Amino acid sequence: MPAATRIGVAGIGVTSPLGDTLDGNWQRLVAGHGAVARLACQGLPDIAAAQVTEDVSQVLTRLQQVGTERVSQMALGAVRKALGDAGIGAWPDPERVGLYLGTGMGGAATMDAGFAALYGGGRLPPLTVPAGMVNGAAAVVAIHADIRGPVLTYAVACASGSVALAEAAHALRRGEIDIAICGGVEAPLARGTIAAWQALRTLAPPDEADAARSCRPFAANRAGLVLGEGAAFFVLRREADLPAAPRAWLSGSAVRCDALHLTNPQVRGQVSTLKAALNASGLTPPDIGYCNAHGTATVAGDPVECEALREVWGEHAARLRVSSTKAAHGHLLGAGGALEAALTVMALQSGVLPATLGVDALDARCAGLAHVLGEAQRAPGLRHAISNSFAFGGTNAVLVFSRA
Amino acid sequence: MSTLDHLTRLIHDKFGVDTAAIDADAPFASYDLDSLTVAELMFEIDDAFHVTVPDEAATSVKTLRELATLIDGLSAKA
Repeated sequence: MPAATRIGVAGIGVTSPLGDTLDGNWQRLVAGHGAVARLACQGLPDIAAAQVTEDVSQVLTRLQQVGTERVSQMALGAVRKALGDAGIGAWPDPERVGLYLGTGMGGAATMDAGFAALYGGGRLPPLTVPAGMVNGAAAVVAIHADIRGPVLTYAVACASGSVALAEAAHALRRGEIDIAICGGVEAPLARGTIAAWQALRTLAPPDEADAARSCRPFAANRAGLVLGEGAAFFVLRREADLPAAPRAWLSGSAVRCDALHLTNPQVRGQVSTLKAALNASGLTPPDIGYCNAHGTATVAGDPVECEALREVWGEHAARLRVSSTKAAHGHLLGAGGALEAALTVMALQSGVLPATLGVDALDARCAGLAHVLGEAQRAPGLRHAISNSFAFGGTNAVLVFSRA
Repeated sequence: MSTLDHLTRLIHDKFGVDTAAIDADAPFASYDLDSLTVAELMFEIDDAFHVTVPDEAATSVKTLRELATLIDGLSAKA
């Protein structure tokens, strides 16, 4: 790793099921008020899902909305919030600004609606390709924010947002750009996409007693993941270019692949990613005070992640505080890693750890870690924290953040 | 309502363009309708006027008056 170019988090913007501001997201999360609810979908069983309630189309005029869709509108809105948070409105050299955007499914709703029209005997709208293409959101952001450096889309399923942050930091360290705008976006709550996830039998049904508790990571009675939508973006800068103290440092990261199975997570790859991320950060397991886990609440995934953490943390595992915030905001797929990174930064800034909601009894296979359950915990000495993203396709990404 | 008035109303309703800005004899771009927006407009016209605008119209038709004339011709044949 190049010598000590620290990368600071200059700003964060979110558009999430937990709300339209980062502070609002955090307060709601720490208060234990999740955003998962029952969602009816024509011709399909009801699902549990976490929706954005903000009118995201308002970021563009109706004329500007031509060729855009929900995913690009959410991305642009969150990017504008991040730039506002960083106190940046314009830049002298747009070619020194890069956009690193993660999304698993891009304009899925546009493709869904287009094919539904076609197969129903109707006409396919002419802008189905530009609105639906996976880099459509990045293009819309670049146009409206005047980003003329690298504008890249990372489609790495559930690790997309984390990979985008990691790659953006590398580009800053390499000196390719001066300002990195990076994060993730996903808008998967369209009928065909929901049906595809249902067909994979990974979705939790809505909890009959309390739909808000449908996603139960690490719980003995967990029943699967809950889809969410939203966007989270960061403005990253090199330490020397920061105009003010950053929210936190992105101390390091690692990206590795299991190379074993399309969907089943594997301990081997997660262990190597965790170790590599710590190494890249110059930190050791006992330095890490909090892990924002991938924790999707699938039967297969959670025990593997916990085993990987136990293996890397060894004798320190029982003191590693762990939670999955997906219980509150759902699984934002390509945006998940970015939103969870934002919440990890908030944990560092506030010295408070959000709890995994909805867990009555922990799965014994997830034990051996200091799970934060029930209520948020104070952690005033927290200095370093990690955020895990372990994707379908086998790609694993771990981000390490440090208190500024 | 004339075809031209109908088109002006359609552009206003769908894209939020001020009707006063729409000059029927000026290029679409003069009131910010780019090629993608014109393609979208042509798609809407098929439903609104019950005609089938040929694909090449998206590039060959340059102004709203030309478009109105085309639609009137297609309607007369229908």
